[in-house]
Formats: sequence, structure tokens, C-alpha cells
Amino acid sequence: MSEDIKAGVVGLGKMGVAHLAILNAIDGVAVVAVAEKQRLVRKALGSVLPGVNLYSDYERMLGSEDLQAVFITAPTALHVRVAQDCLERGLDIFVEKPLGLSGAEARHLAPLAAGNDAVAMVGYCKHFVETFREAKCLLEQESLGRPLYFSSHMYVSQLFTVGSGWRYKKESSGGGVLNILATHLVDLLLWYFGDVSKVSCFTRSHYSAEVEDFVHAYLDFEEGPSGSLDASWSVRGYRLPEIKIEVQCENGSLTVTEDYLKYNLDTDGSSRTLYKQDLFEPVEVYVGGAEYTREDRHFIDCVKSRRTPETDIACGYGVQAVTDAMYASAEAARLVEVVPL
Amino acid sequence: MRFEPDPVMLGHNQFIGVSHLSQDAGRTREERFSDVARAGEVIAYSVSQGVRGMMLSTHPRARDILDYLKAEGLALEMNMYPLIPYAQGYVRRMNAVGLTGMVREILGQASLKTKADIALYGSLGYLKRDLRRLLGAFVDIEMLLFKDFNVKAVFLHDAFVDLSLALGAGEEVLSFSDHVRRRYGAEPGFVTMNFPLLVRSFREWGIERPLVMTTFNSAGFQMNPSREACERALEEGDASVVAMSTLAAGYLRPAEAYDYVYSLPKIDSVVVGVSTVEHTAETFSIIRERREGAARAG
Repeated sequence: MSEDIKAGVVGLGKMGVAHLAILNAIDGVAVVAVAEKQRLVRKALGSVLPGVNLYSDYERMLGSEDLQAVFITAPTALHVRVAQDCLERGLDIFVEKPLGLSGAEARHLAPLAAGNDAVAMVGYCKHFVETFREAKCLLEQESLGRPLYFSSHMYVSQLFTVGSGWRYKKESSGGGVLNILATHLVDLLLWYFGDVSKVSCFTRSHYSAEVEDFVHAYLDFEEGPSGSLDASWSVRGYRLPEIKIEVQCENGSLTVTEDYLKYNLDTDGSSRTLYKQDLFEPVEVYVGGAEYTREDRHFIDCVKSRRTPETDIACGYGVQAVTDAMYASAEAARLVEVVPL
Repeated sequence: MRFEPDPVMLGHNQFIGVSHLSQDAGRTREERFSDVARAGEVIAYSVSQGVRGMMLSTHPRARDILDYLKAEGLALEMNMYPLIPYAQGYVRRMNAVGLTGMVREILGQASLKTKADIALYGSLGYLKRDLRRLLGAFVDIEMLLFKDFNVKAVFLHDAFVDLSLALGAGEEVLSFSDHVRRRYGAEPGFVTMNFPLLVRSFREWGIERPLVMTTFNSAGFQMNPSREACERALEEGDASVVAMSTLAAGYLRPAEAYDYVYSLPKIDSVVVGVSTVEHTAETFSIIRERREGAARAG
């Protein structure tokens, strides 16, 4: 058996804790150090995992520990800086989504990762949800034909008063519901349909002073369909974040959410619904969502075999280029071309 | 003494707009049960069919349901099994106001309304120094809702149990156990999606014959790391098991679902989510038949 990969975690928010717990429970990896600014959180962790070295400052952690991989789960504004410091030391990185505050900020990471022969993954975990994965397979088969048009949304009932914390400050989050949440949806659309050429986007704020609470956009794919994206964290009736994508293809249609996948074929008039129960694959340990375990396992496997992860930096760039164009379009109130990074 | 849960417990998800089949289905339920009398009708019918146990989380609608039970004189006929904390509510608040904002909000809320009822162990500053006392205070705040009810066991939500299992947080689990026994004279219960890991970890932590609510269904849905491993842990472990997701969130028909559940050894109880009187009648008649069959088979 090969030795465990020594990993560090930077930032113990909700996702940091989830990754830490998963990594602690699965084989092939050992978390040896954690950097977290809040003393209360460090103290709590110290009593639970006394074997892990705790730091208030991630740079000290990188300087003192002999790590192979780092999970970057700090607020978005820190992603690129921490990623750069890790890559310069030749460490492999897993960065939570989104990659950074903007494409310009993150532009140097891919050459840096390539130059240091590092494995770098961005946490676009929806690739690891069974229904979305199955939809990708179906769209690649010929039976549905070419995708022509789509409509899509991502909603959650989260913010109905003035929000506080880093998510609602533009300088630490890079934006509101689009950058924090709907980047998952942008990522899926890019995965399904390729590159976007042009976007037209409108945003609106009601609860947040600095960032957007509502997004409505039109996306035109270079060699794929065009369609709409709606996103908000202030919509009622969505206890959990929900993504829904409906695609009209040449020979039928397809609808996919986290819960189910439904498709109709004109050729034989057939219609089929696959629930997540039909597609269910168990995981070695379940903490808050099977997709988190799968993405962590994928990253660890890639580190061991020196493979490029499925959601690599290029994938992070793709999303960043589209969201940058969406913000630019909303600000200029016109159609904007997407500039690849 | 061996703890014996009620053999059938009424679940609460359907009453609070939760469906693990789809959020669309959840929204339909949310609308249907916005009138608490509709939930009351299903509960009253279940009680008339001999069901005595009910699971309930501290969702905002729980208070309405509990008030209804009191008003209808059903409160003392039932054993309540609170499921705490209301995890999704915390996650949403944490996303909205941050971690410390959420802690302050919860403690602040409780100390205003119910200072006398809760020993808050002093100020927030003191709590910051002691994670376990903070957890104890959270339990007390959530338990206030149930103070006029028969609480037979208190279940810790799977979000916390599974996190504790993955982190190996045995001390925190033991402290929850002690707190529930000491303060409420109730059995501590644990909900998990990682049953074999729980059996293994609890054995290491010296927790004997724990009360565990976990997924058992013929589809293998949410049975991690595999259906076989869960069945083996049931066979070999020494836990009092309440089966949940027996219909794999509405995906299986009751007949095939309960054929499977009652073919398993050592299932002490099932938690069942029912939404209409007709559905309740059908489900409980199948359960009764399968349970009696299993008992006869020994």
C-alpha cells in the first residue's frame, strides 16, 4: 500500500469542515495541518482532532509543514493568493469554487500549475452528482440530437433580510448569488454545451447592499444552444439549493435536477424519468452530500496517479470568463463577448 | 435495562415540506400542510391505529403541530422523539449571517425568551471556551419546544452524527449522550447515513447498544458504504435500530419495501412518513401484517 498523502486545509468554514471530515475518514490521505483565523474554531477543532497541527496563519503552515496537497476552503478573496503560494512551493491544490474574484486575478495560476507539474482541481462538485453526470452521458449520445435551446435556474431560500459576512461583501466574495452560488450552474452548462460566445445579463439587488440577489441572463454557446440562466438566493420554496436545466434538442428534450432526470424522444415517442434512487452509488463515507466524498476521492486519486482532474483550472477559468462577461454585461447594459482566459 | 423504542414512529418530513424524492414534491407538501389541521388529521388517525411514537424536528412548523396535539388532547398519548438540531435552518442562517452571527442569534433569542428555563452557563464569552457546553446549550434551546411532552429519546441529526463519525469526535458524542440522559431522563439516539462506521466507532468509544436511526431499504438508497455492509453491521453489531428511508423517499411501493425491512434481523422500529389518511391506512396495514409475519417466523 502506498503512503498516505499529507494534506493541509486552509479555512474552516462550512466546506472546510466538510472536506476535513471526509479526508479524515477516507483512506490514502491524512490531514496533518489546518490554518484558520478564528480562535474559537481552532479551539473546537483542537479538542476534536488533537493530532492535527493548528495555525492562525496559512503562510506559517506552508513554511512549517511538509505537505503534498492543500485544500483551499477560505473565503473566495483568498483563493488565488493561497493557491499561488501553494503552487510556487510545488504543492498540489484543491480550490473550492469559484476559482477567484475574477479571471484577471486567476490568470497566472494555470501556467504556474503546469510549470510546477502540480495537480490542481476546482471544487465544481456538481460533476459528481449522479443525475447531472447521467445527463452529460445522454447529451453526448446521438439519440437526443443537437441541443438547440435551454432554460435553467439555480434557487435557494436563503436571504430575506440584510445578509452579513464575507459572502455579501464584494471585495471578499467577488459578487453575489452569481459568483457564490450560480457558478455551479454556469459550470454545468459549460460542461454540457462547450464554450460561450456572448452573454447578456441583468442583475438586481434588494437584500444585499454590495452584491446581486437576482440574476437573469441569456447565454449564446459557440457551437451549442442558446438559452437562459436565472439565479437567486431570495426565492421562496427552495429549502435546499436547486438547479434545474431543461434542454430542447433536435430529437427530444431533457430536464435534469439534483433529484431526477427526465427525457423524451420524438423518434419513438418514449419518455423516461430516472430518479437519484435509480442512479444511486454509495460512498465510502457520507458527510453532507455524496458528491463531496466523490470529488475528494477523485482529487486524491489524481494526486497519486499524477492525472489531470476532471474539474481542473481550465474548468475554473471557463466559469470565470463567463461570469466576468455576465457582470460586465449587467454593468454596461449590453451584449458582451466572452473573452477566453 | 434495554431501551425499547415504539415499534412504529410517525415521521415528520412530509409535514414540513421535505421530500427526498424531489423538491417539487416537497413544495406540494409544504402547501398541503400549511394548514396544521391536515397534519393533525393524519396524526390523530395514526394514533387511532395504535401508533404511539412521533419524530419531530424543531422546524418552525413544529410548534404549530405540538400546539395542535396539546389542544386535541393527543399530547400525552404519544411518545415524542425530537430530532435536533434543525440542521438545514442553521446552515441557511450561517450562510446569511456567518458562524458567530448565527451562534449569537440563537443564544440571544433563547436568553430573551427563556432565560429562566435554560441554564446558559454564563456569558457567550464563557461558552466560547468550552465547545461541549455550547453544544449542551444548543440542545437545551431546541428541547424547550418539547417541555410538556413525553420525550422517550432525543435523536441527534445525521448532519452532526456523520460529521462526528468522520472526525472521530467521540468525546462530543459522549457528551451529547450524557446530557440527554442527565437532563431529560431520555435515551440518546443517533441518525446516520454511515451505519457500519457508527457501529465501529461507537464500539471503540465504549458506547453500548446505541439507539440508531439509519437507512434500510431494498433499493440500497443512502446505504453507505454499501447495502451489504449495512446488513452485515446490523447482523454483527449490537444496536437498537430504527429503520428510516424504508420507502427510499417514496421511490418504493410499501409492500415490497416492508417485505425487505421485516426480512432483516434486529430492526426494532420503523419511522414512516404518511401524508393522507388513505395512505396511512394502507401503510400501517402492510406494516402490521409484515411485522406479525416476522414475529411468527421468530
